[in-house]
Amino acid sequence: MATDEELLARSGTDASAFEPLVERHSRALHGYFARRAPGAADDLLAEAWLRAYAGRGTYDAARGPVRAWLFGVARNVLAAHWRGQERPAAAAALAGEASSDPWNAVDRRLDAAAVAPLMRRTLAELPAVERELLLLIAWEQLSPTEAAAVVGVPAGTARSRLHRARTRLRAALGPSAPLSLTGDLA
Amino acid sequence: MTGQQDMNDRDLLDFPGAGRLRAAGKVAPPSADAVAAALAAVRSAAAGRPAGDGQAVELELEREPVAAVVPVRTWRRRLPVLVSAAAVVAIALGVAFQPWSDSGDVQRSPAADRTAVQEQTGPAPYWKVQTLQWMRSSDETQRRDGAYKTVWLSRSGTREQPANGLVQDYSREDTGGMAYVICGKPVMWDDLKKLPTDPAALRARLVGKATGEEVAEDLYNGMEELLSQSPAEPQLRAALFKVLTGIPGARVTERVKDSTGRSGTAVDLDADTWRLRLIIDTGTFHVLESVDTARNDGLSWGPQKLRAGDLIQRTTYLSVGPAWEAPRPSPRT
Repeated sequence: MATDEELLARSGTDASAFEPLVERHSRALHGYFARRAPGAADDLLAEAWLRAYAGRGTYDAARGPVRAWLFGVARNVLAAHWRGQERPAAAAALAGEASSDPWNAVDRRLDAAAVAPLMRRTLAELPAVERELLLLIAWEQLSPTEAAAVVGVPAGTARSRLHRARTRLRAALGPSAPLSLTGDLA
Repeated sequence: MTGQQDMNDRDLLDFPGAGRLRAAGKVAPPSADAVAAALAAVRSAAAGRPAGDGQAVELELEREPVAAVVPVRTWRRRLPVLVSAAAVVAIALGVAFQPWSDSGDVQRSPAADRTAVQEQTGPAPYWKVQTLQWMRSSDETQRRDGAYKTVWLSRSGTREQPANGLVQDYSREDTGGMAYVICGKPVMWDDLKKLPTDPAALRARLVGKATGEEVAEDLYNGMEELLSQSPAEPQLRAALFKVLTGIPGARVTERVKDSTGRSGTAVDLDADTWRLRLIIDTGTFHVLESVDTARNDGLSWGPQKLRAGDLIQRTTYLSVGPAWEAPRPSPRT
């Protein structure tokens, strides 16, 4: 079976070589969108594949595997989606981040999944890049190196930030956490 | 990336609640129609536009503005390669290192009275680290005074006990035990005695030929972890310190005080929007304090906008040393 890299390279002259990539990675990319923009995942999936196809000549293997590149494309599509949404000014101010940050949608998902409020608050307090790296690993099953390629930071920086994020989460959610919190931390 | 490396990298998700966080990410697979629509869109594009005509896809970096770096006096003299005899004897005897005990002009730590010097000999199964940690919260009323914590590290993992006495166990049998992840590569507890004590050989062992920005912050972080959280022997500590100060961009400043008034040598590194600082006792090469601050004005922290120099986190190492016992994990409530 051809690798992703081989298929992408071949698709430069043979467009049909791109199609197996769509079949292989649509589930993962759709999941990425469904977690961050649940009402628009189908449309964003198609948009991401269009952009990936159009930009396939820009893929640089030195920056990571095709899978990470595809998530990078998806990240850009998602950011454009959120930038295009009208958000209440108060919510944007509260988030304190770029308007393309999907945190509010992610937080609603965490709330619906009965994730403890303390966990949600701690995640909300992480810098956006740390939080994004963490979720790419936890939800998209990317390695730190792949997640770094998606976010566009050096792999070493990503690992360092993840290490610090873990320290913060352990401090906030460890045995000193308030006993009154609701939701299961397990 | 090796399987073991992946495994250790993913160990970053071993905080309480990580399982529930993972589970919250479960979603239904896309419908067949959704995939078919994506495929049809690609086919349509392929039929209408030749490869290479499309819009270039560049990853968008969302970085904070970078301000000019204020230079810190650079390191001018050779670092001591030989470790002080007192440090060698102390650590060889298994005496807990109490960073404030050698400094006459220091402010005594509030935790000092609670810490007994241990005098047992032989290889101890645990390495005990007591810290006072302050972390910035978006809610400024939270954790304002910092939190005490004791950690017992061992071959099998770690146990942490904050000031309330409850003990959390982070041991992971499935990952082969305690691993310090240095630039993505695991250094196991028992590897510490095998690491070279020549700085160049040590760096080569840890990062190979990698240089530059790609490795700087990661290596800095790894040196911090080994110096602050491992039972490394004195000669290895000296070599780790040399590797740390040799990281591209690292700046060394002597005679710096930590937040408790102890004197040490600061090693600073600018890491994107953050400025990292380690203050190290160069007699024993133990870390006195780790401080992260905002490098520039405007760094977002929840609803806050930080100013250059604002504190992000500070970990003060109150005592480190071997231990022969560790508390049992507390039952879950």
